[in-house]
Amino acid sequence: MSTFSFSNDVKILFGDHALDNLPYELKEHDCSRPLFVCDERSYRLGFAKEVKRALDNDMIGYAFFYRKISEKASPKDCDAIVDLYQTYDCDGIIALGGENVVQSAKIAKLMLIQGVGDFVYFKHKSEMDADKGLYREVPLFILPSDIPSGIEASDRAMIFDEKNNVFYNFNSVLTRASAVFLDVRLTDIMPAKAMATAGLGALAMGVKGFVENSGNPIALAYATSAIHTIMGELLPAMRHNSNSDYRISIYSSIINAGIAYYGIKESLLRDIVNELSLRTELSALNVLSIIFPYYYKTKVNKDRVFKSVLMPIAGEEQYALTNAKSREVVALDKLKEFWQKVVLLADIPSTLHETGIEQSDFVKIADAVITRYRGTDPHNNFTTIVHLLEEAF
Amino acid sequence: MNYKGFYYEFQNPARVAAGVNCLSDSVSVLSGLGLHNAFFVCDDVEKNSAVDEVRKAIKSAKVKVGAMYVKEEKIVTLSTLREMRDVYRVNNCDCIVACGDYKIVNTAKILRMLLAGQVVRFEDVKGINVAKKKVNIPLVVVPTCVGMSKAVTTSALVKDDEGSVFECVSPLCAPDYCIIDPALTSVFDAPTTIAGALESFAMNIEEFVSKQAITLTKCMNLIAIREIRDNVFKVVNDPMDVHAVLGLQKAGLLAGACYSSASAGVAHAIASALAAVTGEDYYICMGVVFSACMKYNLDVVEKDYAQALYYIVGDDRYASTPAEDRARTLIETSQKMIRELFDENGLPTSLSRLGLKEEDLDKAVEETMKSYALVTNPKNVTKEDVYAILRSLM
Repeated sequence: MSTFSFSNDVKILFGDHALDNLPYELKEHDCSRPLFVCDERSYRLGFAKEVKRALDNDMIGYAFFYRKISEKASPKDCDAIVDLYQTYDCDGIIALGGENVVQSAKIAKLMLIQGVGDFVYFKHKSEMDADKGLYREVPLFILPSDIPSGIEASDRAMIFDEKNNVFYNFNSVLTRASAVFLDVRLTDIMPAKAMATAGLGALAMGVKGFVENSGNPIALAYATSAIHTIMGELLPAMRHNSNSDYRISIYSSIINAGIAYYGIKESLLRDIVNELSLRTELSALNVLSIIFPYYYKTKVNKDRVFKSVLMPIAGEEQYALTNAKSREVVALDKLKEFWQKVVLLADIPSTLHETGIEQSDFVKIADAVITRYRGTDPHNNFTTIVHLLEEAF
Repeated sequence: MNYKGFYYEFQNPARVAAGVNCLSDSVSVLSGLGLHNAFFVCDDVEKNSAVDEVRKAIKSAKVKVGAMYVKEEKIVTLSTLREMRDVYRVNNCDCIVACGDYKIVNTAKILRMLLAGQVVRFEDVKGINVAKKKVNIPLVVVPTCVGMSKAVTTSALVKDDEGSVFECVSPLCAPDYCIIDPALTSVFDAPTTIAGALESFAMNIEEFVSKQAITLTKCMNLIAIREIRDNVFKVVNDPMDVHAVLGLQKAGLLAGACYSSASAGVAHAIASALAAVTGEDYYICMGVVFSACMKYNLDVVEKDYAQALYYIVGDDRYASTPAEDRARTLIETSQKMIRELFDENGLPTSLSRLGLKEEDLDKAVEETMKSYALVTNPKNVTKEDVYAILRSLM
């Protein structure tokens, strides 16, 4: 029996004038003294000015503007946000920037609601599943100004505490944003390489989300729409990377794929990706863009649900014309063909070897992943991980 | 692809749990919603066995039933809402739990909007996003019939003191938590079940071709249409097939999730108007008018209809239907399915059987033209068009 639950009330505002709705959304959440946080990049590129202009147009101010979020989110950034929020008596957070800003703001929100003033108290709580603390609201408005990571509209937030060498992975409704704004004015031309890795990473999230959510029609729809958009628009987006329409469409599919992917409760693949991301300094999307075809190959013929993925990959016509028994293999072929096209066009790495990972580290990586993995699937073990890493090498 | 000037918003405010016995699994979520003293809205307690089950579940979540309101109106009236508001306040309730068919859910949604927005004059909330949240009043709904495309939407219908029906659209109408448990679904009333399933089919098609549809909502609609294809006849043959019932409920849920973003089209507008004019169920009116409205839109949405055909007929028939015939085949197949199911279950298939008289036409057209759904219909709808559609069904 397909039983499912779904909860994601993040409002997604997409398009030419999305930013103009920020004042309205702030008012809807009774937010009149927001803390405005961004990173140096968003400030230098003038995106912060665009946001300020949108607020000025509606005569909405902010309690404090902070632009010193580090390039790589750290517990220090979370502490700073919490501190400023309390000092300036704020009633919401506007987070403008890349993954660094988004992760810090989401975790800061969690800290504020939990009444944790210092990140150090989160130690040993790396997997929080807190549904408590709803007594206090901290409206969070996310404005991605870099390629999104997929985490924006999800209930996940992750951060690496370099000082203590601890990876924190929060899974809580308390990290959830009130709204995510995707506005062309907050995006910049992306190199084809960056678009390619992000697009393939999103496709991987979409396919994984599709397969894992076959009984959950809402999550399935998020995954399907992401796959469909990436398959149709990634190549043109790379070829015409100054075209903001394509760019924002790919960004939106990353967010949709993220909702499906990060909604999966336990995923060995996600744990492997996180570990590799930590070791290589590559983004999770980047790692996914490399590792996923190998992962997918190991699953075909084992997991029958993969045959349905042919539908969003190739469309109704091709699906209907393909013999039911061959759909899985055809889906894999189509996916491989697409992957190779993108990799060749953008000249991006397609093996772990190219990322600088050492084969001698595989045991350590597998060990770290299996320690963290909370799933119960007996097929997901140390050997499986090493095998996948070797394949992808 | 051209997104110039393109803008959309998407939000699915309701938390959803769906599956057999998911009600008992939902106790922990109910506890976390901050409910204490519930205002319980339901229909006929004798007939609706789910009421007891829901009461037990909320009791397990340590929620008291502060007041129970049992009343069934096709479309809730302002006088009923005033009465409900008073009962709610006198009993110091702090949340609403609704268990019943779409009429009950609709009533609870509009009541929550009025209470959470602390609306003094009910007349003031006509339109879109008029009521603003002033107090937190959690709303939990447990739909007990299939279809229910309105259960998770941000809209609800209300009848004013003059008898006119108007639609309120506000995030305050959307429930915080929607529990869909086929074990609690009343499927013994076959006509209502069939009408509900076909209404969600119609809504999904209308949303799919809506001017405001986006890739995400379109994917939801196609998944829903497939669920209906796979399950509607199973439920007809065996109303106790909980898997099939859940499939139909999922389809309704998806239509509801898309409604706030994609809105609907001319069929929804006409069906709502007919429901107001004839007093018949909206679901049944939708079944009567839908095929004619599909035909009306055909010339502008041929490609979309052709794509949707796959989800209705499956691999072989889709592959063997020439591309240029697919859109028309979708209309014919839908018409045949609706007519067969309606006939078998003694449901009306024409406006005269629905009770609409020639002299009611003007009122029906007038009500139709007020609907927001016309704005999102793929084709610009004129009064003359509505007359023509209605006359073709007399």
